[in-house]
Amino acid sequence: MDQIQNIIPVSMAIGTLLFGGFLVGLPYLIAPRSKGRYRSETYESGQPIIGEAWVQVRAHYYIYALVFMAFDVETAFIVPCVAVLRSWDSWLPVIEVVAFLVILSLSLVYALKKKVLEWT
Amino acid sequence: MSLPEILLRLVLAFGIVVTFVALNALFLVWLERKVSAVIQNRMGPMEVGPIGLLQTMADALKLLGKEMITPTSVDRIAFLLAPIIAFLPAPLLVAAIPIAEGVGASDLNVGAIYLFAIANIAFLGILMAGWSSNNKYSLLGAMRAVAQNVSYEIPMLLAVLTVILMAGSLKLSDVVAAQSPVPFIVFQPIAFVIYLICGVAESNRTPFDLPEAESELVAGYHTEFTGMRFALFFLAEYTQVFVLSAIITLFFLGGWNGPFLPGWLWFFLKTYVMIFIVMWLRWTYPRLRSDQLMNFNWRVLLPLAILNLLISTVLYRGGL
Repeated sequence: MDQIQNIIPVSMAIGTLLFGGFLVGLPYLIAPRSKGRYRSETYESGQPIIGEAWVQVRAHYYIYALVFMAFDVETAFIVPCVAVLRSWDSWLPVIEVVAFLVILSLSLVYALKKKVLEWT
Repeated sequence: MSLPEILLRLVLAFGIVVTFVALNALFLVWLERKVSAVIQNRMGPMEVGPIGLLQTMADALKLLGKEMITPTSVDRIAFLLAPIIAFLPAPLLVAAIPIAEGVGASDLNVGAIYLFAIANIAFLGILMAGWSSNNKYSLLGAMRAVAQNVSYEIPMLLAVLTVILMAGSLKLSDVVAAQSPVPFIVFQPIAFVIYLICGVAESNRTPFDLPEAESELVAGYHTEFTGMRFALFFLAEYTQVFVLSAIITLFFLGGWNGPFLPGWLWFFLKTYVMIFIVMWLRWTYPRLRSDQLMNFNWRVLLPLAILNLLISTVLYRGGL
């Protein structure tokens, strides 16, 4: 039974991809087709299209992504530690988790001071 | 167990989950329209079926017969894959949610991590949709969506960690079993509020619906998607609302624990009450501004979540 439980997510993923493909493919068989000069143009509220949308985005997003990475990975590190905290009969892991969280909040203070998280 | 038997079970599980995802989305769209109608002093859908119950069914059938337009300037591969990728996490998440003692497609022993890891696939779909469309509205919507979703992810995880700390397990049925007499919302009200805010932000709903702000971005990242492709985004969005409420039910409201009624009924009752609250929020609050949204997360929610986890770690060891 346990074996089946573990392969369900994988089979579910394969099934969903097939099912999604089927749903998207079905209208090609039954839906009508229109024609027209402007039919396949990008939508821009009816105005003539100005340039492409594939432009450079703010470099700010990159730094922001780095900060997010740091925090997310550190959060992921606490998960197993917190999950087993209950079964340890000692204060040592608690002190370690607390120290870790304090360092984490210091990095948040640093990021705020450096104005990485400023959005205007 | 023989191979055909295993395959049969897998197909059965998939069928049940996908049917539930579809029916749940149809019901939630109807409920959303009814809730908004009541709040705005209207009637809402009334024509198709009793009190408009079949309206969303009719809409879904109509979408199936709609032409799917692929603009010439899009990045074809990413454009075709985006709706499917965005829809991918929906059945995967529903499959991992146990609805009663021992009832559920798969109750993994890393359930909590699995839920949050899989939920993030949706953002990949959103980014693919926004970037591949080659449309300014889509691109802006997708950039906002991803920046917002990843930043609200962190306080959300930290809030859930307090619950995992109290339950001492990542398995969802163990988490529920740990709240047998008293649900965790009593011990962790702050974590509950943080989770609710982050969950609403993650599902891109008002007051955090900047990614698809109609008044400025047309429809956000799915502007260029028509027919069934749009429907897949919609399905994914409403399943996300269900999953958000189900996770709150499992982690904070005691899951299927409750007197008198059978377990699964308690689970669905709590989940749909939470869904109603999320909808209520959507139709009563105005939209936040982009910088307010980010600052609120990094300056209020994240420090609060870290502090909350710190205090509960110490208190928990100290005998609570």
